[in-house]
Amino acid sequence: MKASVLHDGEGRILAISKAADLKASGSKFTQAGMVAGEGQSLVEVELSAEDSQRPLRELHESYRVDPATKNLVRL
Amino acid sequence: MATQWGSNSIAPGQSAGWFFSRANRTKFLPVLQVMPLSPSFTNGEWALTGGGYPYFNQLGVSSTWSELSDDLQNLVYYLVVQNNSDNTIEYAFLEADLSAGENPVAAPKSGLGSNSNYFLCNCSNILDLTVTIDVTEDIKGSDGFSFQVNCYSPSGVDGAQQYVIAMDPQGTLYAGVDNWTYSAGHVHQLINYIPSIGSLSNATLPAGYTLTISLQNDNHGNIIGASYNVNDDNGHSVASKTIKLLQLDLYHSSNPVTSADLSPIVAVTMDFVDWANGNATTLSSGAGVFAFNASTSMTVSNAEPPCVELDGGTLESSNSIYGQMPAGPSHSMTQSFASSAQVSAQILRHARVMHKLTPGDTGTVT
Repeated sequence: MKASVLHDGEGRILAISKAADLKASGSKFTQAGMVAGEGQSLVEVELSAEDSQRPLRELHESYRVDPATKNLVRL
Repeated sequence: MATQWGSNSIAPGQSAGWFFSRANRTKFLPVLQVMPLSPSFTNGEWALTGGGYPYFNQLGVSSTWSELSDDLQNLVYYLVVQNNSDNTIEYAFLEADLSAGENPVAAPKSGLGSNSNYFLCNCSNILDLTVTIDVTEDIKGSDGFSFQVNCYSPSGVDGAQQYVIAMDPQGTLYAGVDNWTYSAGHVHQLINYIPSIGSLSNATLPAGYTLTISLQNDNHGNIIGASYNVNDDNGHSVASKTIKLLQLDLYHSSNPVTSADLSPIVAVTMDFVDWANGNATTLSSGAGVFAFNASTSMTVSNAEPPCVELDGGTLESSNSIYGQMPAGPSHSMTQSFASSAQVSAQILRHARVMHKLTPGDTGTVT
């Protein structure tokens, strides 16, 4: 499963959003997503099958983003 | 009914900006809120930001901001999700529609831009029509530009009536009456009177300017004249002209226009195109809003209504685009317009009779 991860300059995860099928959800929006603010960066990652099943708040405590490679790195 | 969607999380003390895009639709208000899916484990207290804005130490959302896309096709809404609690919170979005409007009318077959726009009609006389053009972005065209109120008369009388404010490539402003009569499958010029009314530096119509074209009717609904006004961003008049048709001469004639040459109008289409001569202009910038007001109601149609005598259109064209409109009926309607870099090939509507504005021949006034 794809997820968007918002992180700061040191790779701390600020927010996560799992990809959503807007049409199937009944939303009238055709596109939605996070927008990085000042000092923030946004990366798209592929979550493992195991991580896809975990509560998102646990991912905050388990990972950081490597700002250079844009990959999740276990804490 | 609200729709819940999405699986998101946000760390304590953090903010995440979001965008939400959907097709442009008038009189629609989206309602967006966050739905917590996990506890904050934080006691709710509130405080004021340094700027005096109140907040709770829980999950919340900011005001909503919005943007119309450059091609007028989409509305994008923005908000910021904020977690003022002590813990990471998972959340979804709740979405609902508040709509005071109707679904927009489908675009005409040729598209919404250049010489192809909706028709406003009621198949009976349109009275006291005023078109106001609010300029929100400087307008500049490679070959000038014009705003054409292209009017259609009912069967059995004169075919086409054009009332125009144009700016040539040198920045000269014109007010125009360019009317045609239709017989035996051909159109013939009836009135062609296009005097200059002023000029603007840099051949640019600045943002903040307002243009109006107001049509006047007699007791039979016939169009008897038009008033043209150009006001600057302070509301001061830059150019003004009133043209009374019965004070003009017929085209290439010393005979005056008479009441027999007047006609009502039953349909109107608004075009933002080249200034004249059947040419195409490339708009490097320009945007604004048309406002249509009449004392009679009008309905929006994406095809020429059957009650008009002439299957006609203007030859001038541009890379302009127009926003969608609800069907109505209404006495007052608005429509956005803009230049579009994305329109690589200009939208062109082809009618049986295409007429062009020829300002070199200014006609005469008796």
